[in-house]
Amino acid sequence: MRAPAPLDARLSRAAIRELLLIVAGLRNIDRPEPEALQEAAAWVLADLRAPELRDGLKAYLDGDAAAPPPVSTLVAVASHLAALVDTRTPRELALKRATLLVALVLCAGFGIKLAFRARNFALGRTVTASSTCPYTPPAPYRSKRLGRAVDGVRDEKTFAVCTNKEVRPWIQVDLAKVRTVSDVVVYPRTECCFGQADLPLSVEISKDDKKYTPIGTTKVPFTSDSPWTVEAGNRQARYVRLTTKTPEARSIVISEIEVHGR
Amino acid sequence: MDAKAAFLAHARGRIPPRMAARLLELFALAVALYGATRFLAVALPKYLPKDWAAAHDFDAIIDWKGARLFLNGESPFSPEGLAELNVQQFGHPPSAPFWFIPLGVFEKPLAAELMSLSVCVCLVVHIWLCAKELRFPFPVALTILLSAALIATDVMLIHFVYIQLSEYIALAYVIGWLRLRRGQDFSGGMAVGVGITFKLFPGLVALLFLVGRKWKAFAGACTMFLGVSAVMATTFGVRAWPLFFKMQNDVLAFWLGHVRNASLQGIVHRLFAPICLGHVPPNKIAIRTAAALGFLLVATGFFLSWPDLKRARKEDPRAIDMPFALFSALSAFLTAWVWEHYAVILILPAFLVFSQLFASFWATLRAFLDERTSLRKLALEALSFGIGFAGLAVCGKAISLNAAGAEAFLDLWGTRKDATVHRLLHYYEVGKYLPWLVMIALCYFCLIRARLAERAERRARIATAPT
Repeated sequence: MRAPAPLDARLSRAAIRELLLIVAGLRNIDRPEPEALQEAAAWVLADLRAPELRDGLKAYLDGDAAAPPPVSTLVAVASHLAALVDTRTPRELALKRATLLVALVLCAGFGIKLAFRARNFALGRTVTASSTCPYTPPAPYRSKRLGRAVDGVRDEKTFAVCTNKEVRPWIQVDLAKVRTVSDVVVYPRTECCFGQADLPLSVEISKDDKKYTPIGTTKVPFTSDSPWTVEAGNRQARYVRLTTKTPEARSIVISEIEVHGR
Repeated sequence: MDAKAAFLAHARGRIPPRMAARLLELFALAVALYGATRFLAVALPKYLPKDWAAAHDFDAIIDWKGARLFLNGESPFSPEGLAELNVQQFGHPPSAPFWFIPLGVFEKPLAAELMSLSVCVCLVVHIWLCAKELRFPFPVALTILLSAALIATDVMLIHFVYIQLSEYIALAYVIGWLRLRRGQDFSGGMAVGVGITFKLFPGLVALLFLVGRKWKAFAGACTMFLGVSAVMATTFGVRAWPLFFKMQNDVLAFWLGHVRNASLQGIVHRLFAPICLGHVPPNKIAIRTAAALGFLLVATGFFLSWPDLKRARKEDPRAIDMPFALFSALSAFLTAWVWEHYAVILILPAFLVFSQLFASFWATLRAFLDERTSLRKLALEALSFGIGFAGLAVCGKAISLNAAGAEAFLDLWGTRKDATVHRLLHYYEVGKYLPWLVMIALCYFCLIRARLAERAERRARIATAPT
């Protein structure tokens, strides 16, 4: 790469004036006459907020100081002035307006989505199961053993909870009070064997832990990339249960269960 | 509004530019740290092994065992050595254990932890070097975010748990590329040579040096590879090499058509005999077809890269960028097998493709804003950038897919002939090789664009030349 040309350490007054004129004479000043540019240079100089820069430069330009300001000062002045001057073209201004508008719309959309998003009622609630298989991972810190199924981690190392292989096994979440449930999302084990031991899988809901209403059944295996979502149609429920209704012995293995609603 | 008022209205109350840049950098860092925390909160628990003594007792630990045997004056490429290691094959070239000789003094648990942690450190350095060299904005923040995102995928989990060598090779590629674009051909070639000592496929990049007449780079790669091989041959013997190739042939039968194999050979084998019909054994016609396709890809790559290689040799060493990106991706893709963890080799091509398409789009946007070019040209550039961005997004999505998916659905397909299982089996199978196809296609796309631009420039020069 070519090295930048060295800046002359002893710039003349004329050169510094020229620099100010160039910066001041850029596009936002629409009167290109020499007087106007002189005037503009004075405004630019007056606008320098750092007093040592402004006074040193002014003293040199007025002939009060013999030595020119150091190069670093001039560079600082030039970059400051260049940043202050609006050099944007009409197309740039239009693009800026459009970008701002798009950003505003996106922010508004995100805010609306955030405000009206469904809450996960299952998070941190009590989980019970018909049985717990010996391979169920240990309890997370300060939590119950089956709490992994509702700890918000959808992508477990292996799985969060599994039941023994038995007829009609179940895993149930108590939402603590009756809620309006919009949908239930089930995340399977992550490391292997999707759908091998737990299909067909059903979701049932109940208000009183006695009478359960099935809201969905799947015979199709699902993965952590595309979990199984069951629409609950804003029904009232306190208990959400995963079960298999087949007469054969099955084992339910999941990573996470989420119960959404508002 | 008069001129003075307009100027002052614009100037007053503005944050000084340096402070604005600093604030923006801090904001980017905060966003990156937040994103990284979100990724790592989910990912890191997976990285904790249950049994430290037996952890990481997989793939590349064999190289550490080979290094131990080297220190004891024995060879793993002998019946005694294999019996001592308690393995059927030694899956890596005889030169690979060289780099693990310093770790040979440690016991296995410590050596294994150091190796698997070094993979993550290499990833961070790898991304940082790419971001810094290509002048991406906020390289530190970008490195934090991208590293965390990759650590959250199975690509890095497999690297960490099974200790894979792909990240070392990918880092060797990045260092080689950095040296080459600074005109330091010999050291660049040596870095690529380090990659060849781990596995042999980076040899294709050395071939690029040879065809591109980068003699120093080619000599560097050969020196490094032959030097390391010679050191290892003092104990393992030269006969280790034919034995190594024989061992590779032995495992070929099972793995070549495997559902997880994302190489061109794997894809072609499974096109000839779909995986859903059962195990795909090696097939001579498929091997030859894949080899012919591979030859075609390499020949096209050389043809399209030739002007860049010439420019890199004579004018600007940075012209090596796109040929290097293409051949680093092709080198892995054309080998016999490609697993999920090889995807780290695509990081450098991804950076280069994005950088080139974005730079081109940005330059056209600047020209358009200064009213020096037309909206049509800007739209074409935006379309090119959009294609590149969409391609990279597809790669990211495919890489983040569950690595167990293809094998799990293959197993399930064995017991349940269900249409959904069939669909998901092929979905995950395609997800394995899609990033390779897309990235290589994007590299070709960038090279073709460059050649077309050169042609248009040449025509314009002829048209405006004085008669």
